[in-house]
Amino acid sequence: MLEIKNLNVSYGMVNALKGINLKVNDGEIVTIIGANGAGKSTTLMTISGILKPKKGYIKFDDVDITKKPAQNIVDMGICQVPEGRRIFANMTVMENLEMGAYLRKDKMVKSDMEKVFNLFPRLKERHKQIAGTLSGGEQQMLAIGRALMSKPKVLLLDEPSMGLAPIVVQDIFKTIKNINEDGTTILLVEQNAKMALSIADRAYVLETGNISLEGAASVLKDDERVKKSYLGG
Amino acid sequence: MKTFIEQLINGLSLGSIYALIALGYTMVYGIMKLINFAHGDIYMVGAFTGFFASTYFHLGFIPSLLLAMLVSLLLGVTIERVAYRPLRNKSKISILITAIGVSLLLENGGIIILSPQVRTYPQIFKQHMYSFFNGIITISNQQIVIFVVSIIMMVGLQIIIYKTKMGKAMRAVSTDADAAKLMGVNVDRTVSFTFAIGSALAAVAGVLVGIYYNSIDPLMGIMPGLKAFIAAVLGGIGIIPGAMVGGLLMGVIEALVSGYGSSLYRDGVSFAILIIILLIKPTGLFGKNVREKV
Ligand SMILES: Nc1ncnc2c1ncn2[C@@H]1O[C@H](COP(=O)(O)OP(=O)(O)OP(=O)(O)O)[C@@H](O)[C@H]1O
Ligand SMILES: [Mg+2]
Repeated sequence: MLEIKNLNVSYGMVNALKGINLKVNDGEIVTIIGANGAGKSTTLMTISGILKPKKGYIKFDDVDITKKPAQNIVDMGICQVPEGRRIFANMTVMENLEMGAYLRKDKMVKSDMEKVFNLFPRLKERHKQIAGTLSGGEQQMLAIGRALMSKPKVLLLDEPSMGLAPIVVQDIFKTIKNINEDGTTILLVEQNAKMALSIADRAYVLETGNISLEGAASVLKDDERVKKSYLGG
Repeated sequence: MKTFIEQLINGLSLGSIYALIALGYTMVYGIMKLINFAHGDIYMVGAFTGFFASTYFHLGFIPSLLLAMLVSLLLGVTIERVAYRPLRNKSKISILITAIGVSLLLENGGIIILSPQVRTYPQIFKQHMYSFFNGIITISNQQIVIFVVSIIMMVGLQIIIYKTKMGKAMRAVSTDADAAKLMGVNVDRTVSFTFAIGSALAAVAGVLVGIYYNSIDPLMGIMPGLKAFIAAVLGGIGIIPGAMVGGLLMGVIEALVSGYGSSLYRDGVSFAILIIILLIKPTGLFGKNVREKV
């Protein structure tokens, strides 16, 4: 449902993506792993329409979205949980969730908020709290909940495990798996390759702007190169 | 005691006007980190629109006020669209210099089109004093109009910002514009809306000043613009309640200094107080030290 061809993105003179190809099929969890500065966030920001590529295209359900403004892309069903969460720190938990539903005009917003609260009961207890005062893990839950409020067909997740304790990371990954089982396709960017490969169907390895390896997650998990570079030997 | 209360009321009237102007500075700063130097001139255009509406078209107070708000709103939105938007991703300094340019254009354009002469505002409300508690408190009907209109505007603004979708989008964009985009917010439209509201509030201030002081001229925006900007910084730039309190405080300080000292020292003393407050609290009265959680 998401198809990326020959994508080139640069920041001034820095070429961050040098012609990557990537595909996400309906219902999958696909992960992109790679070291710092590989271009993972750049890929997601380009899909979301925040960055514009120099070359190449991105298609969503066979529609070219490369030149569309960010709000149209959200409206079509692609929503991102950005790196570092980027919740609206001085708004309440509830208002953050409402921002996720910004473009929706249907009557299901309230019941979808209940669904998010079921997924993250911690957020329900704190729905009036100012988001900036939440703990790191709670902020990550809020960032995911906020994106879910847009009712995405594809959820883009940028390093949801960043800065979280191992036990919290496990919870978050379990939730991601559940979200996928409920019918949302997922493109997950991670440095925690072990966790990412354990829940993904397929994976891409990104190295300084190029895709160096791709394949089924179960296969890449046992690949010697992946083990050596990303799974700690 | 009588002088004190009298000056306090004068100060609050003047301060309400500063606060209305300061709100525009602070909202625009909050959303695009720009000091809109042309804001004082948008206030001047509002005052003149109200003047023409009531003098030549014989419109009443409320229609004149609404017309002034509309004209300033269109002017503010146009300035953002034409002068600032193309520079939004360029350096901060180029957009700041553009703002100064727009301000000079409006001031000198005003002198050419409107002539530099000072105009006398029509007496929309014939002055009448009310006194309470054996004359300890006296207040004019014009001051009452200023208070009532300012309160309506500020309450209205709070409702827009905290209760409407557009207001939430404004707050979201001012915290993190790209994150707001990721939620589907149209940032350009949100910025336009912010300029619209800020400019309309400046027009209200312009009309109220005309009624209160009776005289207007094309350069009338410079000094109140500067003071309102300082009021916004005093309250904590980018923070809306800060602009309200900062404006009122600025007005009261000015009135008390004029009442007890001399109006010659008025500006000097108010600026000195400002410097002292900022030395103690650099982020302004309502400012928080920016603290980020990773
Ligand atoms: N705003 C920017 N201006 C200039 N260069 C940038 C900018 N953002 C990213 N880059 C560069 O682009 C390259 C890819 O960055 P990107 O953020 O996509 O990496 P990443 O894979 O997400 O890394 P990390 O795991 O650290 O988040 C890096 O070399 C980075 O320095
Ligand atoms: Mg990144």
